[in-house]
Amino acid sequence: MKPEELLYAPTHEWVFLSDGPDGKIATLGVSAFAVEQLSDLVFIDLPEVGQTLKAGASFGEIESVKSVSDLYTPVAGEVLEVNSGLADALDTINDDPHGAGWLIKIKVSDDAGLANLLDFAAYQKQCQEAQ
Amino acid sequence: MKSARLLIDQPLPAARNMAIDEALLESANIEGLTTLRFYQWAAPSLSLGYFQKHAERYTHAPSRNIDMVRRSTGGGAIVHHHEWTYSFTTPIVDRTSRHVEQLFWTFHETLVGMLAGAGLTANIYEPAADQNAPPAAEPFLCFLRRARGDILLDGHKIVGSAQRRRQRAVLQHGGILLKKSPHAPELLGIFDLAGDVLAPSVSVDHNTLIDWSSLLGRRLGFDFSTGNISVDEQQRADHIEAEKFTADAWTLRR
Repeated sequence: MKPEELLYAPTHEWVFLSDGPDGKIATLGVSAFAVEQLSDLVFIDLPEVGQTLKAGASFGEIESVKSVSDLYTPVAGEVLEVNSGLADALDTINDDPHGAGWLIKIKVSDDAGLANLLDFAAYQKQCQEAQ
Repeated sequence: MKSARLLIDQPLPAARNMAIDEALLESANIEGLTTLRFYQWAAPSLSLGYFQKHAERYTHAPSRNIDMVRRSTGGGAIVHHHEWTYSFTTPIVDRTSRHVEQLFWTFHETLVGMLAGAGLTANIYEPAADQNAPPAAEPFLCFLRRARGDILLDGHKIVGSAQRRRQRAVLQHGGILLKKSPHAPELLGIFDLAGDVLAPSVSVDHNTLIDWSSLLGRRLGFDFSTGNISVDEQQRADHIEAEKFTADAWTLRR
C-alpha cells in the first residue's frame, strides 16, 4: 500500500479501511517513520483473533533493543486476522511496514475514532514537529 | 526548572518494586508527574526482561532458586543483589521522539561523569558500524549483553538501562552493578573492578544518589526534591502487585 493512501493515528499506527461483508475492516500497521525511530526490532506481541479492542487501547507490544513500546488501536472492534508470521520475521516490518508488515485486521464496531486520524500530509507534519 | 520527585526507598520484595514503578508510570501517564526512584531488593532476585521465556532461568544455575519477577521493560535478565536499581518515570509527547531515547544517554553520561569524579574511567559502549543489529541469540543475562549506550568499566558492563514506552509516559529502568553476586558469579561490579582506586570505606550511599540526581536534574531541566509515594500510588501498587507481578499469568506468560 502506498503511504499516501493510508490514514495515521497520532501514536504512529497506520490504518487502511476497506469494506467487508459486515461492515468496515481496518488493517493496522506501524508507520515507516516509527519503525525507523524504534530501530532494531527484536520481538512483537499481537492479540488473539476474536479479541475485542476498545478505541485507544493497547493491542500489543513491540520491543527494540532498548525499549518495549505499546501499540494502540485508533478504532474499536473485533480482531479478525493477525499477521502471526511476523514474530519469526520481524525484518518484514522493517522492509515493508505499509504492506507485508501489517499487524492486525479489525472488524470496526465503532468508527468514532476514525475522526481523529491524520492524512499523510498531516502525519508527516506531526513527525517533523515531534523531533 | 520543573519540579520532580526523588524517592530513595528501603529494600523491597521483587514484585513490590515492580508494582511501585508501574504505579509511578501511571502517575506520569495520567497526572504528568516525574519521579526518579532509587531502590534495592529485600532478597536477591532475578528480573526477566518483558519478552524473555521464564524457562530460560533454568539455564542459569546460580540464580535458579532466587525470587523471580517479570519486568515490563525489555532486555535481558538481571540478578538484583549487590546493586542499585533506578526507575525514572516522566510524561512524554511522542514515544518515538529522540528526546525519549536521549534519556538513556543523559543517565549514562552523568553516571560516567560521577565515576570519573571517583577516579574510575568508564566508557559508553558504541558498537562498530557493522555490529548495530542485535545478534540472533542474546545471552540470558543483561549484563552479558552489549547494546549501544551501555556503561563499561574495564570491558565489563556495569550499567544497563531499558524503557517501557506508553502513549504519554515512559518508564526507564536501570541497574548499577556494585559487586559480584554468588547468584551471578560471572559478573563483576564496580567495586570488583576498581582495584585500589576506591578506598574500602567508599560506598554508594544516599548522598551519592542525591548528587547524581542533581546532575540529572540540571541536564533534564528538573528540580528533584525528596518525597514520598502517595497513598493513592501505594493503593494502586497494591492492586498492581496482586493482579500482575505476583500472578503466574504475568510471570509465566512466556
